[in-house]
Amino acid sequence: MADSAPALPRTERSSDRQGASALSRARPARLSLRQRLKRDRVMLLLTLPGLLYFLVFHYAPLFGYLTAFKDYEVYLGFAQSAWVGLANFQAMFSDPAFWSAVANTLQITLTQLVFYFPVPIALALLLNSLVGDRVRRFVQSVVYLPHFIGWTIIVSVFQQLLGGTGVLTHVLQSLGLPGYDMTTDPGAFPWLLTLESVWKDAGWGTIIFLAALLSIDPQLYESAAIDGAGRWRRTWHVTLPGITPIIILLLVLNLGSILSTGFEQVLLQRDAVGPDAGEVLDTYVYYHGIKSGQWGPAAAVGLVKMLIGTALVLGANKVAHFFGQDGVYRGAAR
Amino acid sequence: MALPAETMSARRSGNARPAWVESPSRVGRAAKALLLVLITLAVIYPIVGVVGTSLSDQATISVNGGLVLIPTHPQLDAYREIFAGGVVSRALLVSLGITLCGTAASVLVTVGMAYGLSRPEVTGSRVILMVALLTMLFNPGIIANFLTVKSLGLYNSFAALVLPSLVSAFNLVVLRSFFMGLPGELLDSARVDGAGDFRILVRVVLPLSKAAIAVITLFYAVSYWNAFFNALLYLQDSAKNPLPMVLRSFVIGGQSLHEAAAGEIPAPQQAVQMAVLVVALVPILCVYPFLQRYFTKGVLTGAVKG
Amino acid sequence: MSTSPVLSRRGLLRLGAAIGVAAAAGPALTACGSSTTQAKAHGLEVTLPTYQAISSTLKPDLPGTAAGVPQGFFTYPKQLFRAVQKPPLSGQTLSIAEMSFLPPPPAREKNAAWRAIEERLGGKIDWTVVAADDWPTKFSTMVAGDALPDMFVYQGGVDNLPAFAKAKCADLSPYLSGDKARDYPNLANIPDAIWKQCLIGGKLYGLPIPRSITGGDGFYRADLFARAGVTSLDQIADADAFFELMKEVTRPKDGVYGIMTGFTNIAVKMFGAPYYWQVDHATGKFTADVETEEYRAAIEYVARLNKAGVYYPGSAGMQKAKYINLFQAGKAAYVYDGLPGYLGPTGHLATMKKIDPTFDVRPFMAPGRTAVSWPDNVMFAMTLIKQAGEEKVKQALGVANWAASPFGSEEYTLIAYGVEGVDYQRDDKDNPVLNDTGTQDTAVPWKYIAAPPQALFDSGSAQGVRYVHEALSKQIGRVIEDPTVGLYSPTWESSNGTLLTLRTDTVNDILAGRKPMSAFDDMVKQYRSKGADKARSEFESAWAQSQKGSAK
Repeated sequence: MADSAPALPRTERSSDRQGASALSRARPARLSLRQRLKRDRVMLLLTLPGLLYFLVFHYAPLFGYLTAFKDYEVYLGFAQSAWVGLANFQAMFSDPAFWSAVANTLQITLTQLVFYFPVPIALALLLNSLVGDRVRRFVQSVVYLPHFIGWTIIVSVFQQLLGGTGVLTHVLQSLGLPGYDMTTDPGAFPWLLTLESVWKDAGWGTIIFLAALLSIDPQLYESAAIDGAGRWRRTWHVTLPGITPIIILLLVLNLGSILSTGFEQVLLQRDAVGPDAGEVLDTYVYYHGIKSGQWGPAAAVGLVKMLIGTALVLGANKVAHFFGQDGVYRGAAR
Repeated sequence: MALPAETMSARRSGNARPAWVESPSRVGRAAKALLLVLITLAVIYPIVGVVGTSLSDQATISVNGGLVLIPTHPQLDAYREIFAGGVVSRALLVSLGITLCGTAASVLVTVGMAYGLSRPEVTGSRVILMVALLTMLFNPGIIANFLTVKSLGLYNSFAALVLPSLVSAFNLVVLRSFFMGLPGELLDSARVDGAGDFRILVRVVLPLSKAAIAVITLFYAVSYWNAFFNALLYLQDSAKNPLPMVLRSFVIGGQSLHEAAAGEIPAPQQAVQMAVLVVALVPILCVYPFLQRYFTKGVLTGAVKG
Repeated sequence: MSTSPVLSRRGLLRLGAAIGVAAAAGPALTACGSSTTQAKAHGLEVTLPTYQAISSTLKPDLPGTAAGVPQGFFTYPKQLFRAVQKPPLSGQTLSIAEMSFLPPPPAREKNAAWRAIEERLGGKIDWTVVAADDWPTKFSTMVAGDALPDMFVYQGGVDNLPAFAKAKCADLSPYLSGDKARDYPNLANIPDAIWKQCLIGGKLYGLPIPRSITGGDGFYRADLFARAGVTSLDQIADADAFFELMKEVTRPKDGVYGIMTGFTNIAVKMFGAPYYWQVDHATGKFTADVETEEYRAAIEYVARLNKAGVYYPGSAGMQKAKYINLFQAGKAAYVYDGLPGYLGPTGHLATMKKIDPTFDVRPFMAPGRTAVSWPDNVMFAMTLIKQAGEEKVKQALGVANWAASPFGSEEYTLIAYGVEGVDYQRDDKDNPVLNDTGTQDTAVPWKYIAAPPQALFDSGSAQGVRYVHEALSKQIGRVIEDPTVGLYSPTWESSNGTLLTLRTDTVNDILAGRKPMSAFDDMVKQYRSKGADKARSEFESAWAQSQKGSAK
């Protein structure tokens, strides 16, 4: 499909390879909307199927949020269920258990953000630094496997390792120390979850960073080496900046889901530590609504989560721009 | 270690090491080796346990407290149970079909959209990106999703297993970010040569993005392979169920039952539980090495030079 | 007044039964509450199906009782009788949605039992079978999307059941009420006490899947008890004696503990607390179980037990599969599981025999003079029929009648064992034994459409049948009243899920030593303010109405 080349070649792209500030970009001359549409028609056509998908399967169902303001009866449907105004929100906000769930959720997601998030990056750098192809391939194809093991089994394995009759306790006892049951210790709950997440998903998480590492131009390493930069300095000055855009991207997206934890993972272990430590927003909604056929509270929490998530993503994106990074999308700053 | 010694990707093959990479210190090497061994062990131990347990009888499993590393009397009963009756084999075919068609469709649409959105100056691209991005934060509930799918006439059709999860906004932004990281000089020179946007995509962008496309292909394929929720919601005819939906029924614990009726269901046999996992895992194990090639080989290098 | 019970401890089957809401239109019952949310009581509007026991020549080895103790059989009947003469369908297809606990069965073409049953039915059944854990999700979407099949199991999931039934389900009273039930003799063979559970909003909507009144008190290892000198449960005089016994059998060095898990409710029963609610017949005042002294004492007791170290460490947070496995491997002397989990080829008895022949597992019966039993497993669930023309409803009822064919009939045998020679063989005692094909073929959930009153049978162990029969006889003998049966409280219906979570969480916290006993008293206050007080007044007014109604 030959495209009659537009008047202005898009040369501005070449100047900001690693995400230079939007300001340095050349501003194209004003074209009329029609001219621009004509120029961009191929790009827009390519976008269209995906756009349609998002509109039909994600925007059309948004009426579901109406549930938050209704006493939703499944068999009556959205139209006929009674309006209750903000009652679902009021009931939630006045419930101390709700706020305790919010606090627990934040504690868990922040712990994971600080202690889980960097692990796949470190692991990817480690794998990338391996010279032997065979070792590298072997380790790489082993570490991603746990991703496919269901939480039920993972939780059970961790109970066997860290539980009251687990390996850890046996080791401690054989050293004459008192046993320690991490799986029922409320204080250790965020750490337990993080540990499990690291084991399950760190390997899987490396894939995306490994792909990013491959897109770093080796010439950069070469010239850095010629300039006398050692291993660590090359990592710091070439490797890390090379994958920074993707790190920032994932970080921003993670912030958007800061009020969500792995539902199944927590549900399976909530009772072991009790609700004061183990109740998160998603399980709160489950126990205070969905389980007894009440969809209103779930939708209300969903709505709050969506608003806060959106605010955080947009905010974080702004911050990323401020530091000269692309964030999730580029060019919002004008 | 007989990989062709391409100029730059040579550093990834075998012992050949670019001149500028100094040989690591002995301590560094030992530390790295130790770390790798530990990581590998931590991962392999439970995996071996899963396979070992799937090959054991219940008595052995119970005595070992749930995880058998080396089965004393290996047996295939669990696998026999899963494959008997032909339900799993049929579901396997359904899943293969869904995964192949779904992944192809998803990658196609995602590549198109990610490319279409990869130039901020394209009219409306910022708005469209926002539209896509926000959906990551939406969750209007299963009932609203169900009603939408049903009103589109997709209820109880195989299309309902693909279309509702056709594009992942996450994969979209990831791929877009990779596209945007491509060296602009290449695109510009293609443009100077008179290539249109579509031609640039096919001739320049795609060949340079093999690693990223391999990544999202893997992500899509795995999510289709593991997906059961769409099948649960949108299928009525149990005979159409894909593999994860069928395998699930081997491992349910009856958590939803009230206490007094709890005895109704025997706790799922652990051997079967583990065998189910192995059955679901094997196809992924088979496909991974093919995709892995693209993660281990630099694609960019040659292109930039050429 | 009947003492027939509600089904579920967790309130999954929130039945608005005999005396239901009159103006039960959905929108009126909003969360904000208003005068319209008051439960309005009515007298019994419907005559239950006339009970007509099926006379068969079967001689049980252990007798059943009118109170609900099932018959026990040591051998399977040799001569099967035919319970349904005329096929209920003539070429039509019915759609049925059902939850299942088993791996999916082979498709019709490869499933001899399925084909044989459809031949007897005279038509086809289109199944939508969903794993039990996924059922609530599937059910909600089917209701919301108006995608309900002709028949479906109901296990909760609708917030206002009377209004839902009225809007979507077929009223079965015109077909089954009184002597009309004679058209469906296998359904007429089900006693009143069970049918009462199938009433919704004063009308008959449900078809029962009967169980044996109570879920029992769990299981114990008689060999471990005997080692501590207790050879009969009667030797345990009271809670204190049980406490000492548990300490005695706990041997951490051997990895053996007294209690695996699930003992809390047993302790509550041991101390004699009511089943959710109790009523003072003189004054009509309702008391919630957690408000009673007995309940509080029981919680203190289990907390002491746990402190004494007789619980298996960490078991409170385990999944069922995990702790059942540990119990079966001999790691504890007591575990809770429902009585139905005892007999049969995959039951605890057979499984533990295989692991270690010295393991002697038996149904537990809470000791002590104050011990009571709860009516917590009267029926498993009920099946509802979607609103349809008379012909369709009659077809559905015919299929249900077929599925309710009693123990020892050809139909029952087809459902439970499949086709002789293909799915099962008779052993040397003439008992049917499923082969591998049969195990798969019989996974089609026919027995969850409707079912006959239960019978106890285990081809592997006559002794096991004796144990269960003995346990049920004792426990059904001391079963207490559930005054809420037949009463409908909208508040209880909508809030009992939350309330149960609240109390379970608090009790678990106290049990684990994370919270002091004062947390229990705080919980009771919250329990009341979050719905129990309102539910109480609704129950009380419904109770008063029903007393008036039954006095007439």
